[in-house]
Order: sequence, then structure tokens, then C-alpha cells
Amino acid sequence: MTLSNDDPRLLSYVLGELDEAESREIEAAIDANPEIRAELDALRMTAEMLREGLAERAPKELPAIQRKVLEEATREAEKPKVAPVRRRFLRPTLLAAAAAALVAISLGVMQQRRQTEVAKEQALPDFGTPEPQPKEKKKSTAPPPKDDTKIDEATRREALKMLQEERARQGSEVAARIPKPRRLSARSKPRADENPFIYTTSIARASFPLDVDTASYSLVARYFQEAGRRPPSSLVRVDELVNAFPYEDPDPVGDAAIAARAEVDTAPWNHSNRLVRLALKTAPVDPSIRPQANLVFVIDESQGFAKDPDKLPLLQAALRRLVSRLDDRDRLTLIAYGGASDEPHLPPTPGDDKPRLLTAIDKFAPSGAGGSGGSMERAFKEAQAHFVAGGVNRVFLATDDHFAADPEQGRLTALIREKAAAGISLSTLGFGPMDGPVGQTLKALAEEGKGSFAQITSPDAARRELVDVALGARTPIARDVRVEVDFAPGYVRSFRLIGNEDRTGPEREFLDAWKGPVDLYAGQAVTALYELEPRPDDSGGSEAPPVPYLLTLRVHYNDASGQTQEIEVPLRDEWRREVSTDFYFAAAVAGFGLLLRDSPYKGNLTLADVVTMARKNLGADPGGHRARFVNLLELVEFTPGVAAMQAAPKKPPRRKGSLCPPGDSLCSDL
Amino acid sequence: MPSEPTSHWVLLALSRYEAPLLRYATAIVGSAQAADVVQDTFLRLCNQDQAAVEPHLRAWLFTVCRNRALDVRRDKRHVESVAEVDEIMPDNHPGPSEALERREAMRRVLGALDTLPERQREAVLLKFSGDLSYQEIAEVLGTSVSNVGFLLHTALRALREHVEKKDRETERRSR
Repeated sequence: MTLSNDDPRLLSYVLGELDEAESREIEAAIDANPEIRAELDALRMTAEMLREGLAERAPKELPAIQRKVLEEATREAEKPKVAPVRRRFLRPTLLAAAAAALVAISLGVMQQRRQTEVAKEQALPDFGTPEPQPKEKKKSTAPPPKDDTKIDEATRREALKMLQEERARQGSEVAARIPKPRRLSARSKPRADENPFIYTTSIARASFPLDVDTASYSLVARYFQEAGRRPPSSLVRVDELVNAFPYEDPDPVGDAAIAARAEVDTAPWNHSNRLVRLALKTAPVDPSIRPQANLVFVIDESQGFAKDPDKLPLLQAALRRLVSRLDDRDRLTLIAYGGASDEPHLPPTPGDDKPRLLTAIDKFAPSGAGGSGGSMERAFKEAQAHFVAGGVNRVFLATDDHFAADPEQGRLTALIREKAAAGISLSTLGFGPMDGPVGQTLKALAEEGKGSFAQITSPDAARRELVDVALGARTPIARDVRVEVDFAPGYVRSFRLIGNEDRTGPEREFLDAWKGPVDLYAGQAVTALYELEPRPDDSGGSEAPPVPYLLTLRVHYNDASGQTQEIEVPLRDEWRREVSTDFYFAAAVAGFGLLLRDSPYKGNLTLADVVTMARKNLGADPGGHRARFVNLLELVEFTPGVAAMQAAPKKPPRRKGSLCPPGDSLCSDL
Repeated sequence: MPSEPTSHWVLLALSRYEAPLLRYATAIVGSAQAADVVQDTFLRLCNQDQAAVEPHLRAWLFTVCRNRALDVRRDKRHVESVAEVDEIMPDNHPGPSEALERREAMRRVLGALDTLPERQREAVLLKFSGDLSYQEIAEVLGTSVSNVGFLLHTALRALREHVEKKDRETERRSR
């Protein structure tokens, strides 16, 4: 047959669309005509480039949050069509709360400002025990379990045990490499002891920190996964462990910036006490609205920074990406840190002048000349010159662990603070490992500058921090957020904030144990846990309030328009409790922390209890974080020296008697 | 085994078609909004009768995704073009010059996508991002199988010509 180079069947052949007979025809033609072969090769090449190119720019999977929505939707679709149980939500006044309390009310109360109805609780099915998939390191003796390969459970556990013992043998040097992070100003020295129970007759109003950190969790996990040993208890911060996991609390509804929730159930480690979970969640990030951006990048121009592919090249790639999203309202400036001259590498340039922006980004290179030291001042000057009211005005400092701060750091800090107050924030980007003091310095600078510090180790992180964050996802949606927890002395005899030991010294007032109010950003969440000791039933007799009312969580904040908002969530101790999987999962994580710290309050809790509780409460687990925690627990079980965690419980220390004011006979009587 | 959340047929479809749909949607509305479009597509799938949709699931998904993506694009003032400047992260480990040339060619091919007539471009995206068969593309675009073959053929020829033309231009300039 004669086949022209321009026959559409050639492409169909390449794409596998021809039937057998037709394919044979083409193959015959190939043999007869080398031009056809060349044409086919060219078509294959183009097809491959299209496939690859289209794949490269697209995300591989949906963001966790959207996946979660889908998972919920499928559950919803599967549910039998029965009218869902509506929860009652209370109006934000104590009066109304008291009135409503006469009605049967379930316990997990989620409440927003001025609204009486919120999405109903998901009736989560019991997902049972997932097939654990431990993450193996390179020298694994255990076969890596996969979804489709069936491995005998006993064999797998045996292998895991051997692996963990092997790690423990080699572990001492590994453990030495795991950083011992220094804490920043907002925290005091790490404490090994625990926050005490405090009598409500002495202090009935408490608060908890909102600037949560999650560093402890990854450190703890590294101790088990890399060094095969138990982490020192000063590294275990229960609040950081608990906040390392995403929870599925409902988003704020309507215009509210924050949603607050309170739940209570029996404390898993002490059945006569209650565990309270208080959660705050801000509205999710809305990508369609973004404020005008005035961004100044101060870039390390040392040779080391420029040569490492994970540093300057990564930054440049992310900046290019950032530029593709800028428009004529935005301004971008580039300045070399410690450069020979103060002149910006790229003066403030509108975001639609893409050729100029891209050229400047690509041409950024170390000059090798000595620095003049005024880069930061210059950066703030440029940011000031193009200040946009209501927009994102931000200076970014991009550097690595060789960053040498200005000798006159005091002056720099003062400048940063002054500019932060004037609305120009400073964010710091640490490329590469940030375990050392430089990481701490960068973090401290970002704190002063009311910006964020981010460690950039991967393109994903670069993209997130430079594109999404820079473009305004980090504008606070609630400013000056304060929380108060008012315990009801009639029902609560004493309470104890779990974790946060380095922020709530026993001698200090609870309300100002950390730096004042904080700003919350879109997509943030905070979980705090309290253990309560209920007042014995017979103590008050008829004077006890008719409703077992435990506490009121109050959140005050200023919304985007500067208006003060208040959320009030009362929490009652019902006989029939409806509590979310989030509650029990958080309880499991906290229990794990108490065991690791060998806390006097761990009661009769065992590691097995923690495993059971975590497994039963995986929830939808969109990012797989909870499943990974369960895997970690399995490793913990096989880690030598952990048996000590199962030892008989110590006697809890006596309550903090000194908190009773002198002369308060009621308090000291208790 | 107790019922796992992933056993739901929509979630199975999600795991299979999430990546191709994201590729496809990204090419139309840009990566920022692709996830929304794909999420929407699957949310709609949740309300469908499994028996009715399953036999031609892929075509159904891409049809819905396409409609949704085109809606979004209409609403958007500024279209994030496929040839969005350097959306692709440059290679951190530049290989031999061949690999670089190939990347460069890839960029040009993608850039040239925008010069194609709408129908051709759509066919190319469905084929190379979604890996649909001619039959499925025909279903989505509401045309015949042979016409799909023709659209793709013409489109690929045009893309190659475009790239070669650019090649000649660069050669001329470098001389």
C-alpha cells in the first residue's frame, strides 16, 4: 500500500487506535519506507512531550482538604435516608445557655457568633484497624508491606521488632544528630514536671496559648524511627504532639473568622476525671480573593547559597512561579543580602512586566564582593515606598544556615519591629537544614517582623511558602485573638492544662503566661486539652447548679474590618456524651505524650490503650497523618526501654496548695 | 473487614481519575483552580446513579470536568494560559545538552498549544492529559471518531510546524 507521510492513520497507529489489520498495514509500510518510520518517531516524540509536559505542571492529587470534602460527600451519599439528628446550638449569652440547658443538649457544642445551627456531626463509621504500613528506612530487614501483598501479621511484627532492635544498637550516634531545639522568647526553659491541678476556688479563669508549634512531634518520631530509642522527656511536649495533627472540626460559618468548639468525656487515664478538648479553627484559605502584594525579597548572595541546587535555584524557580501569578497591581523587588551595593538588583517592578521580572530573577548571582550591610534597611525602604494599604506588604529574607546576622542586630531588630508595627512584615525563608542557631535567629526575626519563618527543603515547600503564602494567604483573618476559659467552681473542683509546661510556669498567672494576644490566619487550628476534677456530688448538696455546667470558652478577636467579635461556647457534662473522633484521637496523642514524659498524671494508662484509642479514631484522615501515628506507635512498642513506660503509676503529686490565697478557708479546706 | 471509606465507588473513581482530570483541568484553568474543578466533578459524581454512569465513566467525568472548567474560565477575567511562563520548575540537575534541548522543545510544544484552534486544542488535551480513547473524546466533544482522528492529526502537525518554525528563527538569530 502507499501511505503518505500526512496520513491521519499514522497518528492513530502511534496512539494505539487502529485495529489489528490496519496496524499490520502500517507496519508493512514502515518497512517499505524509511520516511514513514521517521514520521512515526517524530509523532511519538511529540506525543510523549505533550504527555510529559501536561503532567508536569499539574498537581498529582487533590489537596487534602478537598479530598476530605469528597470523602464526606460519599459517606453522606451512602447514609440511609433518615432525618439526621439535629444538634441544638446555643445563643452566645449565658442567659440563653442556661435556658437552653433545660432542654436535652448534646455535649460537643460548636458555636459561632450569632448563629444557632451548624453542620451536623458526622456519624463516623468505625473504620476498624487499618492495615498498618510502617515506613521503612533503607536498611530495613522487614519486607515493605504493600496494599496488594499479603504478609503474615506475625512475620511482619517479628521483622519490625528486629528492625527496631537493630536501630537501637546503632542508635546512639543517630540520636546525637537529632537536634535539641532551643526555645524562643515566648517560652521559658523546658520543664520536665507537669502543670499542676489548680483549684477553681483559687483561679477559675484560665487561658491557653494560641501560637501553637508542632516541632516536638517530628523530633519524637525521629527518635523512634531513626535512633530506635525513647526521646528524653524534656523533648516531649504534649501540646505540640496534639497540635501536630489536623482535626476535622467544622469550619466557621458565614462571616465568622473563627469557630470554637468544646467537648468533654471521661479522661482515658483517670476515670474519675474529665478530659476537655477546646478547639479553635479559622476559616479556610480562599484562593479567589487575594490582596494586592508589595513584596521585597532579600536574597543571600553567597557562593554556597548560589551553588546548592536546593537553595538559590529552588528559590528562583519558586520566584518565577510567583511572577506568573502577579498582575499590574503588584510590585516585586529583589535585593542581594550583603551585596556590594545597596542598589536593588531589581527595583520595585509592576507584576505585569514579566520579561523584566523573569530576567532579573534568572540573572541573580553572587557578586563575590564584600557586603555593605545595609540590605535590610534598603529592603524596608523599598517596601515603604510602595506600601499598599490593605495589601500584603512583606519583606522576605531568603538564606541558608551560613547566614550571619548583622553585627548590629539590636538595631536591625528595632527596625523590624518598627516596620512590623507600620504594617510591613518580615518573613524568613531558611533553605536547607535549619536545626542550628541560624534557624532560631531566622525564626526570632520573623516573630519580631510579624511574618512567618519557613524551612524550605523541597519544591513543594518553596511553592507553598513563596507563592501561596506570599500572595496573601497569610493575612490575618482574626487579630488580637484572646481566649478565656471560665470554669464553674460549682462543678469543677480543679483543672489542669495539659502540656504547655514551658509556657505556664506554676508561679505565673495563667492569663499572661505567654506573649499577649495573637493573630490567626486562614486555615489555622488550635487544640487545647484540660483535665478536670469534678466536684464530688455530695459536696454542694442542693446548692449545686441543676445542670452539670463545666466551663465557658470565650474567644474575642477583631475581624478583618476591625470589629470586635466574641464567641461563647458553654460546655455541660451530660450523662450521654456525643464526642467526635477528633476528641479521642487527641486524647490518644496526649496520652502517648504523658506516657513518654512518664507523667505523674498518666494514671493507669498503657501504650496498648493508646494504640486502641488511636486506631479506633482515625476518622477520615485525609493526609494519612493519623495512620502514620498508629504506625509510629507500633514501632514504639518494639523500642527497647519502652517497657518502663508500663511501670506502675506513680502517685500524683499533691495539688498546688500555695495557690490558695491566704485566708481563703474554703480553698485550703479542700 | 469492616467497611473502609475507600470502598465507595466514587472514591475508587477518584483514585483512578484524579491525576488525569487534574492534568486536564490544569491545562484549561491553571493549576490554582484545577483542584476546585476536579472536586466539583467528583461531587457531582456522588449524586449519580452508579449503574448508569459506570459503563462510560471516563467520558462522563471528562465531560463534566470540561463543562465546569469552561465555566470557570469564562468567569475568570484573566486566563492563566497553558503557556504560563515557566510554570515548569527548571531542572535542578541539568543533564547533557540533549536533555536540555528536549525540555526546550517540550516548552515550545506546550507554548504552541495556545495557537491551536479551540476544537483541536481540546482534542489534544483530552488525549494527552486524560488519555481518553478516540471514542471517548468523540463522546465528550460530541463529534465522530474519525473526526477526532482528523482533529488530532491536524493539531499535532500544526504543533510540530510551530516548533520547527521557532527553531529556524532561533538559528537565524544566533547566526
